[in-house]
Amino acid sequence: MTLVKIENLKIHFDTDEGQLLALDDVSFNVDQGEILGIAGESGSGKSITAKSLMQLNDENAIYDQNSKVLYENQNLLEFDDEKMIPYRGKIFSMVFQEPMASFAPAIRIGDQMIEQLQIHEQLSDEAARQRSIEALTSVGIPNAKNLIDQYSYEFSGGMRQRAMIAMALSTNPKLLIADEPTTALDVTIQAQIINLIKKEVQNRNMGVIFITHDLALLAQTADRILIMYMGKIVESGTVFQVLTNPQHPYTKALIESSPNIENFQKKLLPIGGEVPLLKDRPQGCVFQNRCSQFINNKCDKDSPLIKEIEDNHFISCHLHHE
Amino acid sequence: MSSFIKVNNLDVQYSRGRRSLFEKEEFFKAVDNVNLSINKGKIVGLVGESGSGKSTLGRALLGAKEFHHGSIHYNFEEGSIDLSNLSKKNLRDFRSKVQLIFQDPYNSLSPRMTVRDIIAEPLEALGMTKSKSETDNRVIEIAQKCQLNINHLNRFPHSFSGGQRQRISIARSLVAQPEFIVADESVAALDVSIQAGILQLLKSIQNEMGLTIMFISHDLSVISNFCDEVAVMYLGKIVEYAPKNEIFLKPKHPYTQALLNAVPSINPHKKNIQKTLEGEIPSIYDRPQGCVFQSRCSKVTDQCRQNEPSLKKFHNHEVACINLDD
Repeated sequence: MTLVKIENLKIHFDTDEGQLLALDDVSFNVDQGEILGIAGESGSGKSITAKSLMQLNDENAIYDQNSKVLYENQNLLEFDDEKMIPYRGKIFSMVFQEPMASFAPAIRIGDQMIEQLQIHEQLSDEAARQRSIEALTSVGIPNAKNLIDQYSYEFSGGMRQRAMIAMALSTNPKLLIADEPTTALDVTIQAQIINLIKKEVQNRNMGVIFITHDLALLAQTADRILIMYMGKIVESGTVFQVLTNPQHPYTKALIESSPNIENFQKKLLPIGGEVPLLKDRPQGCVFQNRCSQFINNKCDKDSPLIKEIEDNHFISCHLHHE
Repeated sequence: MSSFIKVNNLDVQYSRGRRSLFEKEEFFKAVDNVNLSINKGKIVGLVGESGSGKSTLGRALLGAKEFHHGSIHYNFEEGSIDLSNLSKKNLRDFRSKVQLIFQDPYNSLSPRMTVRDIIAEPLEALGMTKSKSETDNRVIEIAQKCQLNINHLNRFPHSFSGGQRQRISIARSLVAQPEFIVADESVAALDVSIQAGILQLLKSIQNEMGLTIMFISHDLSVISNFCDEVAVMYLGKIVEYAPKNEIFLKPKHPYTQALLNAVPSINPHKKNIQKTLEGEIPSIYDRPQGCVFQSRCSKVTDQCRQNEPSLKKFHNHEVACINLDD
């Protein structure tokens, strides 16, 4: 069942250099009990997309009039800050990349968890504390009763990220947004955190948006994947469709450039050139300057439309628009 | 053939300060009794979790962190150098032969210097060139090798992207023609599409100049692709050292095996990260007696808690574990 539906999300940022297009017509949905992966390089718009759901983008973000974030038939983009409160930590919850930076250093972990619970629910101090201890225990923090009174700097990186997840899950959210939740962690801890998130998705039947630049991580976690480039979804489909039968030249190139531990003799092929700056957004296809299958007079003129090439497998590329 | 770098029984300690005025200063070992020999022209990967002592070992090899016990011996083309008794003059020579490439191309380049000045600095500091024009020529030569646009050498670092900045870092490290490079997480901050290009560049330059590289990384996929040999560290000790194929196809040490199991596979049909290591690396302050890996090892026995295993030759591997079987 569809949980959240994003329609034609289009965002400009108002900067000194003018209004720059950062997200261009992004549409997708997240189902209950599903992990939706969003992958792409820095600057592709992954985080902006996620933040739009909670309206957490910087103040200079301008949402297009036709953009919609639909939850239970309501467009959240029309809500003001007051009405957004339940969508910031209760119905939607977020886990950030840097757990060190996302906890307040001078407030005990427990007090931060209790504060969040009491904002969203009518709970006594004692009940909120109990819920927080339960949440910490459920993510595998031993001796949570005592550790709840510690500060974030007293936790290791892995523990901090567990506490972050505990805090995000303590309000029983319908949708968890995880923005590079394991990027700062060692592989062994990363594996622990991934398994934890997968277990919680099954137990709670919640939806997850999992943002990462690591395709292998998505291969192991996601049900569906969106590949983003310069604020556009260039390919989307099930994890099997996108990773074992990629069709967009960018997706293919991304896989070719990723080192693979199971095939370590493989020659890595870098993608030539670099992502253009937002202010130099090209006319036509956004990937044209790095694409190996560039078609003259076509890719530099028209923006490719989104086309379904097999069941639920979409790409946006002129190669498939004959 | 004798090896290019020979490390014997190396200990590197950090001070923990003293608890009170009347107590002795306490020390803990970040690198503990490391033995390692590296052959010329090899790329050696150094892998392990944070806190395993990778960077400290790298810095000790460069003479940038003093060590307290053991020896580090280099066989350079122009003669050998023993790091434990270096005169001032030899230290200068030594510094021209070894270099470091940093992780973060944003913080490691001075924003107030032009790219030309950044790259030229080692040459000038070491007095390796006689005139400005000679310096300029060397800078241009290395910049071209690193695929930098030489018309942009008078710009400042802020006008370059992450990938280009890392090329500038590499050019700076190579301009004095070192024989040994420590690359500490040098591609960790880059996107994969850019990372692949930097690795390609490093490899071709390594080939051309006959460089020996110690490549420190926590990313096993990058190590598996880039290195010839791999050393696995845990809590200040090398627990396994072997050629790349051996490490990745036939890992012997339980820690190496666990690390490899935790690396996600890009093949969605193969779900591989479920069996993972529990717990975390212990704090370096409570180094256990016996094997350093005992608290997380699935094969731990009483023996492991008493006797500290040392690196032993086992097939093509050097492994520090007492429970090895074929």
